[in-house]
Amino acid sequence: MDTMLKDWTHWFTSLELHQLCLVLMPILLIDAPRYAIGSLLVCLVDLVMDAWKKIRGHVDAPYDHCPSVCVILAGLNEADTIGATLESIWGSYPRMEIIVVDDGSSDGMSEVAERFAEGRDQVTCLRKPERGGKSSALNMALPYTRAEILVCVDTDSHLGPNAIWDIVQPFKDPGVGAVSGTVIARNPFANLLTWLQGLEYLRTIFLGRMLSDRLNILGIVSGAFGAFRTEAIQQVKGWDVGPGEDGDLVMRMRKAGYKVRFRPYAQCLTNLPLSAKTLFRQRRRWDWSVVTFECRKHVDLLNPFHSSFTAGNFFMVLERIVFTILFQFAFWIYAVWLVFQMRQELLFILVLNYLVYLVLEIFQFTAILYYSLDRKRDFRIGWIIPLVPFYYLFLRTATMVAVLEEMFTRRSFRDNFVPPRVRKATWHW
Amino acid sequence: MFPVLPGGFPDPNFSVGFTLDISQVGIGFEVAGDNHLSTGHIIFGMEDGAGEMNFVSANLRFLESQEAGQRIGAEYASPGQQLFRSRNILPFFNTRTFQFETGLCQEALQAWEDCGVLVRAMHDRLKVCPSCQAVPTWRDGCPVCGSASTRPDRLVHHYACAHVGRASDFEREGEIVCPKCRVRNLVVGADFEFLNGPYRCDHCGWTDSKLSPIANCLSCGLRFPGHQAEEKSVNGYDVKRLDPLVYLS
Repeated sequence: MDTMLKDWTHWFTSLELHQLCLVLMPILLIDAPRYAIGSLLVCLVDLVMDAWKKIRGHVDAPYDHCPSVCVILAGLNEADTIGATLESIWGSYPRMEIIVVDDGSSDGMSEVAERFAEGRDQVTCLRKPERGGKSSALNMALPYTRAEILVCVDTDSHLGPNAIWDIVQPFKDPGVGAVSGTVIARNPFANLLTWLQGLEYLRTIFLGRMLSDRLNILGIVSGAFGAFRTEAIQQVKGWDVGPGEDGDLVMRMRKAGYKVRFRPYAQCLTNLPLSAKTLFRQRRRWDWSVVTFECRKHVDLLNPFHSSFTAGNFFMVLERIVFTILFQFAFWIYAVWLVFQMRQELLFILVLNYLVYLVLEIFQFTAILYYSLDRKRDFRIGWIIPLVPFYYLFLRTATMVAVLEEMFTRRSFRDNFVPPRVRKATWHW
Repeated sequence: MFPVLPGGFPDPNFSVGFTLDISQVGIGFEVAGDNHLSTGHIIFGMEDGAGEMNFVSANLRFLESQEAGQRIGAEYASPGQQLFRSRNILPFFNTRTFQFETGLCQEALQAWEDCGVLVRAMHDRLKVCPSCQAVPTWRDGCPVCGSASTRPDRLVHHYACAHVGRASDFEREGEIVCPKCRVRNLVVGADFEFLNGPYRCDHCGWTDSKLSPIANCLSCGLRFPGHQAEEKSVNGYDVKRLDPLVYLS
C-alpha cells in the first residue's frame, strides 16, 4: 500500500500541465464548469451580498404578491397518496382552488379526491374514463380555471411550508411566464440509492437551477412542482405529448418571449425511486427529451435569424446539447482511449480523477450548505459524497443509452409513458 | 284496566282485578276499591298462559259497586272503534302535511308505551326538511346554488397535440379542426376521442365531475343540500291483542 502511494505520488508529480489536463479532461470539460465553478462563484457573490445586506440592516420583504392560484394535481392510480398531497396543499394559500384530474385510474383515486372535495367548494375533481397521458390530463384542467397562476404538483408529492406563497412571487414581473420550484428528496435515507439521489437533487436542482437562473438559461420547470402564468399557458395552448412535456412547455414559453425563474425555497418533497432498474428507466426518459426537444423540435432556438432567437435561449439549448450529448460521447471516447492507450497508468489516472471529483463535490456541497434550509439533514446527506463518483458513472451510462436509442430509434415514442393510441397519433419529432 | 281519556291518553288511575267471565262479545271482571271510572272506553289487559299481557278495547256496559270493589261488564269495541287499530298506532303518510303521522298523537302513544301496553317498533329512517320536518323530493344538482339546470361538458381530446377542449371549439365550418395545432378533418377514434367533461351549472357556472343530492321540501318549499337534511326515525307501535277464543278454549 505504501509503495503504491509512493508510486502514485511519483507519477502525479512527474505530470506536466498538458498531461494533467488530458487525464482530467472529463472533469474539466463537464463537471467543473457545469456545476462546481459556477456554483462556487454564485455562492461567493451571495456571501458578499448577504454580508453587505446585514451591515446595511436590510430585511427581506415579506410575501407581498398574492395572485389567485389554481393547483392542478394530475395523476394515475394515486389513491394511496392523493389524500395526503391534498392535505399538504389545502389551506396553505388564501386565494387558491384545486383541480384534481384523474387520468383514468382504476384504484379509486377520484373517489378519494371527491371525498376530500365534499364541503370544499374550491376543490374540483375531473375524471377521464381512460388513460390519455399526463399532458392531456393537465390540459383538461385548463378550461376550468379562472385563476391567474397555475401550479402543477405531482400527486405523490408534498409541498414544503409557504411553497405556494414563495413560488408565485416572481409573477410580480409581468414578463415571467413560468417559475420552477425545488424538488427535494422525501425519502433520502430509504436506501443507498435514494441517499445518492438525495444529494444529486440538491446539487442539480437546488444548486444547479439557481445557477441556470442567474445565467438566464433555465430551460426546465419540474412537473413535480412548477408554476405558470395562465395567460402564458393559454398562449402556447398547454402541454404537448410527453415524455419530457415539462421541459418542452418551458421552451415554448421562452420562444413566446416569457421569462423563466427559479425559487430555491419553494420546495416540494418527492419520493425517489428505490431500485436501480426504476431509476435507470426514469433517467432514460428524462434524457430522451434532450434529443427530442433540444436537438429536434426546438433546434430553431439556435438559429440567430429565427424570430424567437435570444442569447438566453441560445445558451440554454447549447448547454443541454453540449453537456448532455456531446460531452457524454467525449467521456466514453475518453474512457475507451484510457483503457487502450494508458493501460499501465489506468489505475493512477482513475485515482486522480476520483480525488479531484471528490474535491469538486465538497466545494459544491459547501455551497449547498450555505443556501440550505435544513443544514442538519443536508449535512447528513453529504456523508455519501465518497460514493458519488460511482453513482454519476451509473447516470452517465443511462444518459448514453438514452441518447443513442433516441437518436437512432426514437425510443421515446414507443414508451409506455403515454398510451399506445396517443403515441401512434402524435408527431414523432 | 285502563280507562281511556279524551285524546286517547291512558288514565293513570288504572285498576287491577280478576276476570269473572269472558265471551266472544265481552268480558266481566271485578276490581278492588271504588275508583270512579273516568270514561266508558276501557283497555283491558289479561295475562295469558305464558304470563304475558294481552289487551283489548272495550266499552263499559255494566257497573256494580260491591263491598270489596266493583264488578264491571264491558263489550269489545268493534274493529273500527278499537283504540289500537292500525291507523292509530302505525305511521301513514299525510298528503296534506307531507309528514309521516299516526292517528294517536305521539304523546299519547308514548304514555301507552310507558304503561307497558304498547311496544315501540322502528319502521323506517327518513331524511326530512330541517325547517318543517316534511319529506322532500330528491334529485342531483349543483352543490353551490342547488340548480337542476346542469349538463356535462362534451370535450374532445386530440391525441397528437394532447389538447383537450370543448367539442364546440373544435367545430369549424362543418369540419373538426384542432384549435391548438390546426390539423383539419380529424377522425374520431384514430385522431381524437370524446370525453365526458365535468358538469356545468347554467346558473352559477360551477363545474365538477359529480353532482350533489339536492332536496326540495314538499311542504315549505325550502331547497337545501342533502347533507343539511335531518335524519328522523319513523316509529310505529305494536300491541299484543287479546283473543277471547284462546281463553274460551
